Amino acid sequence: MTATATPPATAKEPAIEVRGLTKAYAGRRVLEVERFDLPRGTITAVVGPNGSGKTTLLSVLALLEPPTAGEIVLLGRTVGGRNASALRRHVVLVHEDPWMFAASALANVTYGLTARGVGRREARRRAEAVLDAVGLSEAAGRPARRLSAGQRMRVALARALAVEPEVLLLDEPLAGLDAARAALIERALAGLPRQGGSVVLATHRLAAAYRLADRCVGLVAGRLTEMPLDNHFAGTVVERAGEPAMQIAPGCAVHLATDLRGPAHVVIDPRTVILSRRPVPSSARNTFFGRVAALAVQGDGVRVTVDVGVPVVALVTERSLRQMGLAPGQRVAVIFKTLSVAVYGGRGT
Amino acid sequence: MSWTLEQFVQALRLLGSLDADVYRAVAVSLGVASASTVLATAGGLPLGLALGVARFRGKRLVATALHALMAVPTVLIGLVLYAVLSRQGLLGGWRLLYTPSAIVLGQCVLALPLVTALAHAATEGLDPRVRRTARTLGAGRWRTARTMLSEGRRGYLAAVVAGFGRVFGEVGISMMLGGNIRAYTRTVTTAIALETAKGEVALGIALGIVLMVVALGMNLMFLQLHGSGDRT
Repeated sequence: MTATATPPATAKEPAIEVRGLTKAYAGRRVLEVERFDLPRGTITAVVGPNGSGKTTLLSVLALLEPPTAGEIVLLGRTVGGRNASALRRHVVLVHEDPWMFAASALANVTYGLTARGVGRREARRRAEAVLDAVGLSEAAGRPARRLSAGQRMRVALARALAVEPEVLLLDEPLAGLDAARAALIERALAGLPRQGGSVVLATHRLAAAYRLADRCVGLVAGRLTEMPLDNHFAGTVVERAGEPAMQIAPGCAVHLATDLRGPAHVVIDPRTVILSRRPVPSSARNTFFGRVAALAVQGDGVRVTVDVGVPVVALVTERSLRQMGLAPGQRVAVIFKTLSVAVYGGRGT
Repeated sequence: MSWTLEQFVQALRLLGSLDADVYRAVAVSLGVASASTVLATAGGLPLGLALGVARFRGKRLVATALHALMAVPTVLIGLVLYAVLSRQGLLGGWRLLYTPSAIVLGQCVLALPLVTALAHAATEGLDPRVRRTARTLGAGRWRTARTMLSEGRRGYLAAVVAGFGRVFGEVGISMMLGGNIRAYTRTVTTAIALETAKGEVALGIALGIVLMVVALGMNLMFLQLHGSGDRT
């Protein structure tokens, strides 16, 4: 789907495979990714706080910075010194605070096309179409640097989408956009996988990640974790006995407070989960029984993982743990309110 | 009327009467300074750009050396090249000594470190997103370089203007390599030195005024281009 020749690779191969990748600056290791695969035609969200290494990861995946160690396989080709610049043409990175060339919005969008040898007239036609898709056709002739932050981000996205890259990397793509503009961008991104494009988006906004992505991974201190958060479940919100609920495990349906129906992600804040040795009559709508699977110190508290069919994590204080005498294998009740469950509409996994 | 004032009045008369010697010297100065600036720019901009982008051991040493070369006296450059271009010298067979080409060569040696160092500084000062954006959008090495030059044109233009100013106002190289031959290698600065030594102070002042006007003109042009950068 690019203007340049696509490396021969089968559709089954991941768009990006990363093995044993590390990146260090002045001897300090800032990124350590043992394994990461980006399946073709999918959107993966990398969720992490500021400073977790998201931008570095995207720069390395965009082949703008060489890794200190490890291997990157892009579209079936192992990236090496010689083919890096050729392979780079299949990936586009959109920065969080994108640079606008000192030219019109339209000229910014045609840049990548003319760099790929597309004729000026054709480049202009394609750029106008993409600008229209991101709702910026009226700003095409305006100097890009004079646009608002949100408009500049949309120009940057249009600039990337115009070259139809096999892999699109987005660093906080919804930053500075209002709800309506964000929805516009989300629609444009959601269409990419259907065209065979693969997307990695880095964000600290969990809601956006769940809405947009097929898969969410966490990035903490430069290391990827399969789940960005504890107690994150994907499924379908259905009407059950007159109220919304999502089944997260056999016989384990979480009651929700939402108008949303259909595919969704739910996240239960571990700090709001109550553990009890026996059932407690309360206003909480969700009570499940399971056995303590693991105990681990986390910050000032203890992270208790209870297997209720799926692992559910509760954060308790050490004093509570001692008073309850909790130990692995013990049977406990897991209790939480519907209002402590965050629901995000999305594509589900 | 005091003697000094008399000289100034006479200098203005010379300029007004289109004195051939004055304008020949101006033409030679502009010719050799333009040629040497073009050559120094052709070498210095790519070098400064490459130095700003490249990562290698000893980069700081190279940058320091460039700054040191900026301070080399023009007489020293003239002396070294005189030794090289003299009939008995290494390149004596080229018969360049006392020709405008010899001045161009010397001035090029003078301006190259300056243009390179300032272009290097301009590259280092350029937002790193310029290069990253160009590369991620598929630009090759040349297109990326062109984009960087365009986006950082103020800094690069300043390097070129500084190079021109340096060579247009120098006297040591022109004197030693050009020989101050009337209507051939006599530049504005060598003419000022000669005419003043001869007691033709008015002519020296006339040439000095021209020197100032050209220097001011270059700066005004730079400011104009600087301003046009703001409008984009």
